Amino acid sequence: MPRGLDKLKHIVVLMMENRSFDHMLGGLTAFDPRIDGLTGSQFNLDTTGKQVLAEPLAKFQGQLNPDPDHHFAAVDLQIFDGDASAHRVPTMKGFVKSYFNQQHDVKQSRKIMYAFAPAKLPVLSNLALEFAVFNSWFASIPGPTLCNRAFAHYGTSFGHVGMELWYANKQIKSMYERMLDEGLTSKLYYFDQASSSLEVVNLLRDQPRIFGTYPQFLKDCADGTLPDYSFVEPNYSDHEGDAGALVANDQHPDHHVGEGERFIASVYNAIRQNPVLWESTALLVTYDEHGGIFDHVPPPACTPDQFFAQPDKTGTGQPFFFDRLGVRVPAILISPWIPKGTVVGGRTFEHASIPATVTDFFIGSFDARSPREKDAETFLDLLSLTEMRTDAPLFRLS
Amino acid sequence: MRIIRVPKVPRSAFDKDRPASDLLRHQVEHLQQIIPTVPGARELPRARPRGAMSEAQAAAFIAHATQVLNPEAVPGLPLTPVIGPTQDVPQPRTRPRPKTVGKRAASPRHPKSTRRSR
Repeated sequence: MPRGLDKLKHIVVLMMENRSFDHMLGGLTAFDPRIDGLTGSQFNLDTTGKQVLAEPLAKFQGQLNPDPDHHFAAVDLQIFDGDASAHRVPTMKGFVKSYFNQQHDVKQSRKIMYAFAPAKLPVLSNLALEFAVFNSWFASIPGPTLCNRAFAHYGTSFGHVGMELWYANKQIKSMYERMLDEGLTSKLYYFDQASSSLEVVNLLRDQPRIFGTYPQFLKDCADGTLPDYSFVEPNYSDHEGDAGALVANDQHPDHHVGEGERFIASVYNAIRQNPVLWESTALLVTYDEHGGIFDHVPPPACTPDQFFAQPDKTGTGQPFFFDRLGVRVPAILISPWIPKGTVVGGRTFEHASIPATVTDFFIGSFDARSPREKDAETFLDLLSLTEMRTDAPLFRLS
Repeated sequence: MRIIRVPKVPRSAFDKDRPASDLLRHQVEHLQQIIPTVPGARELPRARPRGAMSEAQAAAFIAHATQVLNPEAVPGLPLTPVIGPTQDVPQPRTRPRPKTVGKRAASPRHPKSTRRSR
């Protein structure tokens, strides 16, 4: 076993909101051509037939209002450009058309192609270049937030492709329940009471003990009492806290992307500043789905889930058999045991890779999983160094 | 150790009156469905203008509902407000120009907004 894996005691997952790989990390291709991002030639056509290039023109806030549609039918248009034929192939040419459909504003629709210049995202860009960035980490479903987050918690969405409330079945337990059943420790940290948790409100009702708040996460990191497995949720709204205004840091459009950068840095720093924790923790930063924003990589086929969604749920007139992935999202694995500048290519990951990896590492053989999770790639082999790195940066929050 | 500076966001980033997103509205709906099934929770938290709900209104409802569901949430280190108490902040007459955070944060030619500590 590599020494990094031998030392590993904690896995932390931070899942942000609604940004595509190209939008956040595509500009890094200019710094490392192994990163499968933007080359300057990727484009969509707008509704006047004009080419719209993917360019580094994204701003922190104010551009993606209204929130780009990312429900199943809209994402289908974004990926397949309106082709509904039996043998269609994903072209990634329908993003501008999809955004145009919301306001019929040609100028606004072009902004869906904008990406961030790496200099505007010093946290995400540096983490990607310092540790391991995944070229092929996809959302689990070509659809919205909740069904995708379900794959991170359960390895399946139990047949859901939308935002409706649902209840997990007894056969497939959440990652947190699996851990606790084995006598291990696990917590889902939401930001505060006013932001709360997404998706798993049924768990919040039934098992509040598996939940904590972000202040508790910070305390657990400082005290060295972090659970074996932790999942961190950002702040989903602008609201007043006890001491003042708290800006949403989930990066969901049209929230300020810079505040999300600060939140990612804060999570990283909390681990980095405790030497014992830093040595023994792997942190995965990823996004639930692309939020309707352009990415150029066609989502691949995948192992079908045991569920399917009816046409009235997909909104496309066709059922969905969970046999292909959603749009690509940023994903970065952070540990001092990962070689600097690791680019993970040639392997396909999705959110079911999270419970697959955590279960394999902490529990081992475990059969009560979805077919998707059973076939999902795991990622801890990336902790391959024999000597721990001492050059990892620290973020200073102004 | 390399230190990477991460700038503050401008004051204008905070807008608690922003209309609640689809995500927040679904979160509110789900909590509304769950709360009545909680033993001992006799009444719904005071809700919720639906269509025109602001982020602050959604957050207030969510806070109340989460308190019902998880009253034992353990306090930790205090959250640092990003901006500070808004009631004490004089509001400019005109909308301030967003600060060009990125240009200060880093050279536009390289993502490494870094300096070495001494």
